[in-house]
Amino acid sequence: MGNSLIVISAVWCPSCLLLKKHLKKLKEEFNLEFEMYDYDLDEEEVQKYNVGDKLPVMIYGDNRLIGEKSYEEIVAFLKECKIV
Amino acid sequence: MKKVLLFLLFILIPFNCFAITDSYTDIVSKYTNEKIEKKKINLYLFHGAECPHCADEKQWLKIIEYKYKNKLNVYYYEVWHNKDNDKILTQLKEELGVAGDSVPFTVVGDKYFYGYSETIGSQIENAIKEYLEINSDPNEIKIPILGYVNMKDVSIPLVAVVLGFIDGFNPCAMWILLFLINLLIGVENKRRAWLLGLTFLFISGFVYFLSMLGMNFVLGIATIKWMKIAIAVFILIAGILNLRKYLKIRKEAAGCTVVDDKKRKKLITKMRNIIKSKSFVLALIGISGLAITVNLIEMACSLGFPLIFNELLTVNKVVGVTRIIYLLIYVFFYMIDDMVVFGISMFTLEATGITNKYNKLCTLVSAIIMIIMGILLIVKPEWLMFNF
Repeated sequence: MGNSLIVISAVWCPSCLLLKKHLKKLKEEFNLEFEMYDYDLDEEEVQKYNVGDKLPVMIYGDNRLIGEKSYEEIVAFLKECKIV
Repeated sequence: MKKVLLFLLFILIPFNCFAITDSYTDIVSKYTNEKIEKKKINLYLFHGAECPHCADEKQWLKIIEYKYKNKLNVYYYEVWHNKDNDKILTQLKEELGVAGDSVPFTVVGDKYFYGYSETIGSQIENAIKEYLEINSDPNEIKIPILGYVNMKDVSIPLVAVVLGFIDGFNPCAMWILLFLINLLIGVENKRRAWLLGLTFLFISGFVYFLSMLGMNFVLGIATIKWMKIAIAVFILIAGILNLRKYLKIRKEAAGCTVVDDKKRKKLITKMRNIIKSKSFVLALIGISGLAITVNLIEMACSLGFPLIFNELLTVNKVVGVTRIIYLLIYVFFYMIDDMVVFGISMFTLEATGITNKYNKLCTLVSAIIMIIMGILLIVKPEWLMFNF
């Protein structure tokens, strides 16, 4: 669990689809890379992070951003983590 | 609900409801010199002072005058003792080609009425309404382009649209569609992908329709009062549970809740195998079976709204083909968000979904509707009859 930005989502989750759009914008704006995991396909990896019952989840070290968030909320989280 | 519907319908009602039709021509004024006011029609009553029917009509005209005040002038001409008035009546009758000299004789526009009875009274009132462009059926309103539409005919389909649409936002089965879309986007043969997706949607809608039809059959038998109350109580409890759910989730972060891991994983594996199937026919059968299973499993998730709608149809005594048409309207609007999500995703080749941000609001609105409907079905079912 290093200091990479981890995103756990699922293809069946509308909030995750929304997050993907935000991630695309973040990549363009801040040139960020994410470690993406699918809740159903990457079971082993996901289990390591002890994800609760709410998706999507963004993890950076001990910081977590859970659920559907706006682009601004995500940027604020990244700033808090001192990534951007 | 009734108030909301009335409000919506009033938006549609044009303000020219009380305009005067072009066909209004006052044929008496040239004899009487009574002025013709703009946006007002004249009614002339030729009567005899001692005539009992004339007295009845005069009494009735007082009500009519009050009912159409500002739109109707009533002029009284006594003809048994007033020779000038009698002369006017004679000239008028000559022009109209009317024989006989009995009274009362009523003229509105170019329409005339001999004698007075309840039937003649309603004929006179219908003539007034016709000139004032007021429809004689109180349930009918004038809507631009469509013309006169019966509010009862409009209100039930409108409820079908609204309830079906809200019910469609129920997120229970959305995750399955999204997963399917994700798999279909990856399918090279786009025609096959479209056909499989559309089959899934069509079968889903059809199963929902059949479930509602079945519910309709059960409710049809449930004519005993206590059974009706039991259904209303069920709706009320469903509403209270939804309200409880809302209070629980209102402070939680919006997002997708992971539920029933085993069931989901089983379905996902099944769906993958179906899409991968080399035989298109087998894939079609598989996807149809999946749609049936999924919709039956998820039916319990949104039982409240179909129950409410079926009960509304029962209360309003909608039966036969009309009932089936209303159920189809409901199901179409129930499916519309799924169709939009599927269409956009397939065209853009990128899965799209409806944000979960409004899920909480949707839960609250559903809870309120269910609670109100449940209470009304128990206490005042007649309020749910669209007899405006």
